[in-house]
Amino acid sequence: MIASSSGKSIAQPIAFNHKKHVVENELECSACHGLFQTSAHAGRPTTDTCILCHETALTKSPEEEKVRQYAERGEQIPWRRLFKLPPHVYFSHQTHVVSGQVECKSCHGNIADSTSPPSKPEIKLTMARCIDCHKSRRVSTDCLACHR
Amino acid sequence: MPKWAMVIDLDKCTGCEACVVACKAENNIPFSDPEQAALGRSIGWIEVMTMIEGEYPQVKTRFIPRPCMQCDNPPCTKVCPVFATYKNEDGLVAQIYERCIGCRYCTNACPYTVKYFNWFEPSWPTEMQRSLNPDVSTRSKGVVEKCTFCHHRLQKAKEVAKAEKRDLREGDYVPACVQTCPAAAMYFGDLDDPQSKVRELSKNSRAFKLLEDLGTEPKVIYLTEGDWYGARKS
Amino acid sequence: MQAMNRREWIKLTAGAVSGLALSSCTDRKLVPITSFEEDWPDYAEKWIASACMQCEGGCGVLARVVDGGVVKLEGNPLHPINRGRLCPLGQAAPQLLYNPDRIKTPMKRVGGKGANKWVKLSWDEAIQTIADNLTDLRQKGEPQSLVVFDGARRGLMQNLVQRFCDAYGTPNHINTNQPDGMTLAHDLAQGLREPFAYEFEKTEYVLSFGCGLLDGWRSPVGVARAYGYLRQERPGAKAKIVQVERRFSTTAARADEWVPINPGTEGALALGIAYVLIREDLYDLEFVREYTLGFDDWKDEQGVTHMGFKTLVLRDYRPDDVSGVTGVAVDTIIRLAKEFAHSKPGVAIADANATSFSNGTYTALSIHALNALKGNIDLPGGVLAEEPVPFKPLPEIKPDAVAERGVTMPRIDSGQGTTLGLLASPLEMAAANIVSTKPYPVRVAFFYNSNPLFSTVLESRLGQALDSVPLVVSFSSFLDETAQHADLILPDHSFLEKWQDSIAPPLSGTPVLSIAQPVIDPLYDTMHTGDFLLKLGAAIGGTVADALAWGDFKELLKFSVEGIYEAERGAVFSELSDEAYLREMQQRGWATNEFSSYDEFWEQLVAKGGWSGLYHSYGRWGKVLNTPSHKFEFYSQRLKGELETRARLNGKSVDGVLEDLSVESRGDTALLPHFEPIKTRVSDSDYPFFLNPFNSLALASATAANLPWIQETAGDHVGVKWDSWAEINPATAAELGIEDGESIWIESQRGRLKTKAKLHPGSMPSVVSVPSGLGHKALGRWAKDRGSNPNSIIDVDHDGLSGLPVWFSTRVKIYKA
Repeated sequence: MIASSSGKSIAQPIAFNHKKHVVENELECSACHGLFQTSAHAGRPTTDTCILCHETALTKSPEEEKVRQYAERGEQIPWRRLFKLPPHVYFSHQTHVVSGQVECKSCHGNIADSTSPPSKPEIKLTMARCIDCHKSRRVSTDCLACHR
Repeated sequence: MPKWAMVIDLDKCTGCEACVVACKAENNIPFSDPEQAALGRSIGWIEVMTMIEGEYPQVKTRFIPRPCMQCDNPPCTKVCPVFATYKNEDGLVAQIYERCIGCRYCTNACPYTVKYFNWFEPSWPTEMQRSLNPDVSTRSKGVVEKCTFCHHRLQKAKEVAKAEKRDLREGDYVPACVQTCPAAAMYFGDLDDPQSKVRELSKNSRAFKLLEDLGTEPKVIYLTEGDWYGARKS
Repeated sequence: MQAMNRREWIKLTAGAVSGLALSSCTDRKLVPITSFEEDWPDYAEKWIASACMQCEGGCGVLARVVDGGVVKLEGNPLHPINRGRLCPLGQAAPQLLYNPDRIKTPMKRVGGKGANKWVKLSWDEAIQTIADNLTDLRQKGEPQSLVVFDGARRGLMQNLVQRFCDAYGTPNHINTNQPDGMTLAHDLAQGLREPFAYEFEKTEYVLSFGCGLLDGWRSPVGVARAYGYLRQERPGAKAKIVQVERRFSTTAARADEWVPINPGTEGALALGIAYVLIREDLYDLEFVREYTLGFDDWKDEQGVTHMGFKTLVLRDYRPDDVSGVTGVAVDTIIRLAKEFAHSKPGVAIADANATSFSNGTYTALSIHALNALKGNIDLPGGVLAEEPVPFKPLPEIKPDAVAERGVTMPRIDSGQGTTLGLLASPLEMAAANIVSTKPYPVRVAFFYNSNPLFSTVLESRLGQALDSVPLVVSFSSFLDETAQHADLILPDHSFLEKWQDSIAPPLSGTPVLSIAQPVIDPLYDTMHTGDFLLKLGAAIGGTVADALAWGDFKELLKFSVEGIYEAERGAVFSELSDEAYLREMQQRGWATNEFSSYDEFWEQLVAKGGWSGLYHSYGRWGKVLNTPSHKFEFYSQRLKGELETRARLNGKSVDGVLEDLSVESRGDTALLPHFEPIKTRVSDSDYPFFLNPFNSLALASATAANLPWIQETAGDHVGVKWDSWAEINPATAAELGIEDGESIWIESQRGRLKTKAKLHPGSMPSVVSVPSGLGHKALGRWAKDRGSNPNSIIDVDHDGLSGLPVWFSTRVKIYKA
């Protein structure tokens, strides 16, 4: 197993609703995860990103108010990482998503449809899963391709 | 497949150690303390070997920067019981730290002594952890590590080329030591590319390889005008 | 997931060694437990141009900043000095930035001086405390009691410190980076008190008198690039490099020929070579006739006949005599002279390694005389004088009466009325005068970018001096030896956190200005010392504030750099092809301003990392021969004038002054390049060896010893890590019964130090070499108590004529520890 082996459930600082953003308001994933098309990393949404829309209240949700509180304090929202990789794994979002045309949900499942933050990844990323996909797509299964 | 190779011009080398420190910075190589260093446990994926010869005043110093030779026929991989070290599809001799069991067969098998065992748990003061390269993992006590020709740079270069829908070009992928060399004594590229600088230099009459007679087929090629301990030159 | 240790793991795989297929990797049971990344960093990655400040070299860097952390420096490919390359110190810069021993806030001493106990202090308190003290001194009419020890490199920080001193009213801006003997020779022979510039790329023959070309001299990367180019890239004839040195240094090892020489006799060898050039008519007759003074015997305006350089050389420096003094064979002297004579062009170069002896000024003059004989002054591949960076001059200051009076007071390091230092002011003089409170007491001392308690031989004297000053302020980033004697430590930013400029040391006649911008926000509660001086000026108020009316150092920098924009010459760093085009245009007299406004210029300048003058105009005789005779002066009228002035001030004859300065020769000889044996205070039999505290690239930075990567690599050539060593000739060691790696004592009259013997066949039998830069008593966890500091046993001595310290003539004995 590669991701989230600790088994601890993860609580996010804000009860973020992916569905509202992605499905109902049709935001692209890249609107908040700004790096995944150009870098190894997906990119963590900054408070500034949130404030672009939420500078004034759009709803009466207390969760939304929290966003502005972080912004007022000049703090980044301490989003917790749900899909974790061990440090000896090299994974590039750019390579997978842009060059490899892998869909986000192949690894991240239906996160876009979630209405509250999942405490565990829907899909457990195992090395077997990586290898299967690599084999089926006839891409490298060289250890060094992923291990650093 | 490209044949990645390094050429080191010993006539230009000034023995300055920039390659050594650049490598340490790029690859999160832990630093030793004086006690560990005295036991010969410092790690340097590339080291400047120095030979001082002759008698006063007829003295000669030879500097020879020595990374992993990335042998085409590596002796180290053959003795690994766990497939932690092997020659990969890019022709590079890989070391997969998470598989390594620290038996050190490979360190003994390598005639160039480029494989390093982690005798102590690598650690950095909290402040210095900010300067670790996120592209390279840190290793743990008990595993063997070595020069990878900065393989992570190849990975990134390939990604960029792929994203730009083109092949790798000369200069896209250069290890940290070659990039920094102040005297421009180090070259890097694809030996199979007829246009490449390393290919041109490899055919130079000054070219030789270290311990070539062992049949290791090193992909590090040295240049020198003088004799090198009877090394074969073309 | 099931836990498994490595032992179990190997059991599992036993028997399947050779057949271990990749697919077995996929068994989840085989994956060992590892830690997982818990946080979610912002991996946004930036490359930001700045400049390396580890040494004076001024290389351009690109800093790789990931998630707000500097993870690597690479050379800036556009920078004309280093073209994308960096030395080990540049590569180790992240260990300086993130050094755990950096001082993180302003600190105030508690307990006695030097007790090294500190409490935190706010910047406001610090500024107020110092401003109160300084205001008080001005009210008492004693602004001269402020002394600023300034180790700033070439660039605007020096100008700012000077301006602060002028406006405040102290003459005591003491530059701790003293000129070397060669710079003084430049001054005496050509009237230019600035370092020589050389163009190695265009040179055919480099006759180096111990110059540490590959041992950290000037811009190490720039020199290494030139070296690589000369060795294997330049088309046509190869250059020959000859290294005349008492140690088999890296430069000697990588030269074509190493000529070992008795310490302190470099000048004699130069004159022996001059003898051959003159005797065999191998010098540039036209240059010597048209552009020099004092080559042949001559008559002055009063009709007095003076001896010429030619007569002196032919009289005193026959190769066989010179051979006896220098230990260099007669054949070698003649051959070197002929090689040098026939090279086109060839240069004779040196640095403090040859001139830091009691005879150093004359040595420098003798070496430089070879360049005049060759007629290669301000010619391609010859000896050049660099053109200045066209900064906009800072507006004139309007000092008040207090300041006006203060700056006319004698300097605290003044040699006036003494027997020391005709041409430069020794730090020792400052120390002595502070202790004796003559001509006036010092109340406040600043130390910027300098740690003289480690880097000079004056540890105890300076320490004593500092302890007698009521307020000592250090701007050091580390608790170094000098900072430990301070009352306040006001830590500067590290170089990757601040705005700075750096004029690269001259490697060609073309000036190069590097702009260093912060690549991250300051990590700690530190302050740019330039910003501090501006704030301090504002707090003092009045005319001092008026003179320092910039908000911060960046504003001052931007103000000054506008002069470059307005000069419309040179170019912001650019690709080689663009650079070539701009050079061509400007050489033909076209202005090439490519920017629509100064703001656009500034933005590009910062983004690209700096500006270069692009090309050098040769043969500017009016500028480079800036002497009273407008000629190259073998017979130095400048020196004559200085001697006469000193004679007048001290009420003595010129001969009396020469005697005071420990110069042996009299009359015309004293004004010509000549050789005087170095003075030794002890007998050869008691102290048979010369101690040679050598410089090296790795330790060229003042804080290098606290960088673990440098400690690991600095002694690699002799197989030493984290320690000092002493290079000893194997035969000598055998006589003394010392084996390789053994601990030994090296003892001078002043003291002794313990280190490891490294038997080195490149050691001269009479010389023992110990690296400079290790053996700290403070600075940080990795520097402290590692190795030995040769400065601690070096005799305190001077070249009487110049006043510059003598580093290399301490006699020592060696014995097993």
